[in-house]
Amino acid sequence: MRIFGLLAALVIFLAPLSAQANVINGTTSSRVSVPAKGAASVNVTWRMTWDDVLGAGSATITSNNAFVIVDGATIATIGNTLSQFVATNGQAVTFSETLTLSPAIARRISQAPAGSAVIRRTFSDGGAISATINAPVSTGNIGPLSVRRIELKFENQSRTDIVQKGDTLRAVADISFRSNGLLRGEWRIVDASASLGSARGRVIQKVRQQLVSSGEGRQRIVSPPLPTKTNGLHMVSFSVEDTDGNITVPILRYFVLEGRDNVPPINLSVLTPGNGATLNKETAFSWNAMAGAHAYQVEILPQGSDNPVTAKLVPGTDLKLSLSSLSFEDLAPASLYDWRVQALANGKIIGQSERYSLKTQ
Amino acid sequence: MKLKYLLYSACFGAFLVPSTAFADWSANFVPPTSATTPMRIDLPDDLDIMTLTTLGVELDGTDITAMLSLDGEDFVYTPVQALSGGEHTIRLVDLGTGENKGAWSFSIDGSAAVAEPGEAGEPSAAQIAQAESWLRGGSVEIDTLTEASDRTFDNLEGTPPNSSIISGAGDLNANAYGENWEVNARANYLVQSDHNLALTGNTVDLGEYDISADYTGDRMKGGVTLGHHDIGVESNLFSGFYRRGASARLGTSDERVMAQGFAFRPESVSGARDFTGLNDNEDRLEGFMTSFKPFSNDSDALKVTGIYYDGRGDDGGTGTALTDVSSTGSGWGTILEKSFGQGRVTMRGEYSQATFDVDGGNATADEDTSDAITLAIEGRPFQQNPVFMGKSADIVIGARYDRIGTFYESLANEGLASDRSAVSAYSNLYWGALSGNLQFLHETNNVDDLASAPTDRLRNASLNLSYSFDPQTGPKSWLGTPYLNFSGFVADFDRMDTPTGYTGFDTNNVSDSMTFGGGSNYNEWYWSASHTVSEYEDHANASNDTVNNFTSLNAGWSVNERLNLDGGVSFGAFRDEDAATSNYDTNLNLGVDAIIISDKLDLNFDYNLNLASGSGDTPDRHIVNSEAEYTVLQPSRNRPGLALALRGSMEDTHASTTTENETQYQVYTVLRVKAPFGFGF
Repeated sequence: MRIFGLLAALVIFLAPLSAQANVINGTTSSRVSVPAKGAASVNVTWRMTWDDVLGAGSATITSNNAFVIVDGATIATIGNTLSQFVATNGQAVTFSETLTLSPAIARRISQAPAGSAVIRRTFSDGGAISATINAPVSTGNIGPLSVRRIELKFENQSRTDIVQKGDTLRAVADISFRSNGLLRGEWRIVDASASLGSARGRVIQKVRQQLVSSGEGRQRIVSPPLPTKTNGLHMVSFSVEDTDGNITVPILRYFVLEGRDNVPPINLSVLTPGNGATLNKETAFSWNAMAGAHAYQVEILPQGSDNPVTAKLVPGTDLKLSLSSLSFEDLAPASLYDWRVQALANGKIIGQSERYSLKTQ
Repeated sequence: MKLKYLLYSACFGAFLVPSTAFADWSANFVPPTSATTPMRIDLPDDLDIMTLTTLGVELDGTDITAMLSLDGEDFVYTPVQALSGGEHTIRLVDLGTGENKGAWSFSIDGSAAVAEPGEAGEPSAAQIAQAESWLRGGSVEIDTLTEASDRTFDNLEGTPPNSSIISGAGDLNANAYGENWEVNARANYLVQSDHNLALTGNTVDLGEYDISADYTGDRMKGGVTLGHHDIGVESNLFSGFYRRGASARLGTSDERVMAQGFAFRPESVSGARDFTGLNDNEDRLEGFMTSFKPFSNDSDALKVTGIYYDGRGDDGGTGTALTDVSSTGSGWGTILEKSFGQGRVTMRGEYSQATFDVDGGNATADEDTSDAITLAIEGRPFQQNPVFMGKSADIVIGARYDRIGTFYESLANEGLASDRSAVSAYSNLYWGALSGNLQFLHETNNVDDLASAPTDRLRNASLNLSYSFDPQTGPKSWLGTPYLNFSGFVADFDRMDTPTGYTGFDTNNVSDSMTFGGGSNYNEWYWSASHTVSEYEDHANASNDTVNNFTSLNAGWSVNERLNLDGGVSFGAFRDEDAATSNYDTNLNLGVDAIIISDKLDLNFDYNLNLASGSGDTPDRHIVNSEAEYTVLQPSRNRPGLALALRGSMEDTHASTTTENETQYQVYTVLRVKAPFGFGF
């Protein structure tokens, strides 16, 4: 038998941890953590030195799988075959791999009385040694920011949408993550001019947002307005770095129709007052500008009705107004109303805001 | 001259012109000759300027004072929208005294008086006859677009899709109603002749839809919904759960008592294959919800809601990226809601218990039962808004407590962040054009007190402010209508308790982020800019310290009614302090929208540049997308339109090491049929 001495050292990281610990001859000294629930990817580097005790001259060091061991029992076999040819006595050998722990495995580890697992691999070139690492459960800090789930939808909750030309359409990425750190993502759009061919998109916005949590967190990221200027099929995606692995980039489709000209799009965003505000003569209605608007009109409407009780019209250069006594004459005291802003140009309503509520004193 | 500028000048003029009260004067009105021509209020020639500034004009209940022009001594108003046919009323009011200085009625003839089908208006005899029958009315609107595309030129990698493709989509909205019932339906579909590009692999397939039928009687109301919808309640058990399924509801007409049964597919689906969403009993969630107001039915009344569900599914599907597998879960919850002072103070309490088996009954992991509590209160502390510096302040304050168990999971709220016990307090302020939000949060983990796991603490303070200035005039007019905003937070995350012998990471890090932004709007253009600095410092060295700077600048210019330009550039610099590496990325977007020939020829052009350098260097990418569309026949209701288009894209990759083909392009000729249909009765 070509036998050898294999001095093993291993360093294990939880993805993508920078902290590392050397282990000699299978003795571990680790600082890794496994989440109590949910999937996780563990980046592991096994390091060892090949000692050609029998003078074989060369060998192939192989390990078929890694084993997750809880309370002495193997609960899962994970990872793929690692193999490396060595031909120099004293040669340093390094294997790097990413081990995926399924939610069930993570949960099983956290259910163990010891609250930890051992991850073990046996390396052999005819003889064999085992290298192990202790992986305790943590409900908090398991290392750098890690995105574990992305749910992408449009603001109206749909995931396949048909919109009209000029509509304001936004997508929302609901991000579930672990730990703290900088989210690095990008909104990418495949225009109709590419969606039937290469389908490679352009970046419409980079996202850099610092996320914090005490372990698990959730963050809503809203896209910039998506292109709706040309007819046809469009696709939108949100991709992030630092995922748990096995997370694909979610993609939504939307199709832009020509649209009906009797339905003004909801494309105007307002700034003040807050939803449910109490109205008085100082209450400032303000909104963001809309390109091409010649005038804006703030309408006060009975709840559930589209016929305004009163309204005020201002030039397109104004982005703020307060109602005058003219309007207050039409409003009943201590009553609930809705309000919205409309943008007008060339005799048409080119856009409007969502409806918000207010109450009179 | 617009009246508003007169108002500004009047402040100066007050020092020059003696204020004279013209208590007795009258005005005349010259009505418009058509729906779009100006109307004139003829004021006395000797009316002093101070009186002029106190006048207001209302047309059909809309205050149009700010839109008036001053022509000599007359107010002139040109309608921004064509006036509808029929009677209109205009009145002139002295806002200082409240005295009505004149009111006039005039009539507009013409086609504008004819109401669109389905619009509100006086019922005709036929409609009145219909109203006496079971079916009172309804409408159907179908908007469709179908296009035949041929890829005329291309240079693409790999195996591109078919060169000739028929694609399209449509959107349907329909409703019908009787005296006490209503049916609403909404659906969309997609067409794609290349099955590899199709939403579901079919040439024509359903996207999303919902059909609801509701009945409202004197004492009871109820209804059913099929298709994509939610149960109408946001809670720890159900949140954002908009899925395909069916539900039925029944209750009293005043909604004091309501009950709802439901069944949904947890996975998000499209297509007609599983039309109801309920075909697969291995991927289904069922439950019910009840709500009632035990003591009264006024707007502040206590409302009690109960929810229960049981099911199995994997929560995947369109738009979801995750590593979960099929799980089983069930849960129940109770929600109490109460308000005071007609909604001035609102309170909400919620308790729920969830049972979840992450691997759906397989032996690897056992099922968990965990609970969640949420308490929230929000209110406006002042009966009358306080006034500071002449401006009313609308102040909202609130507090919230969440205790979400370590293993709390729900099939209907898969993204929930669990294992946290959090107390937060916040305040929202709306003071004139200033709005702000201040929030403090204290949060701990290891809620279930796992003996082998440590307990950490997060403390977070955040502030958001925005202010919109008035339009700047005179020497400051170059500032346009500016606005400023700020947002920032600082968060400290540290260890509260470490179990004996724990070998995992320590916790001790600080995050902070600040964004300064602003911009301005002008008649024809706008700009905005922001800069964000984010820092992360891990004193426990579980992960690397990072610093990120991100700057963005955007601008748009409406050159004229036919040409719009917009663009934006962002620059990011990310530094890993421990690894001593830096990444730089630049993203540039430019867009042009042009009407070359009105109602005939449109042009769109977009350019995108992506640059990345530093330790994360990637090839530079230039991407161009463009389309020119020639309208042969304008579509209108029930009359299809026809258009021809030439569209394409090009992507140029520099310094690529992954491909020999650095320039890809594709050009299509497109024949487009646009067909909006609609009718009402």
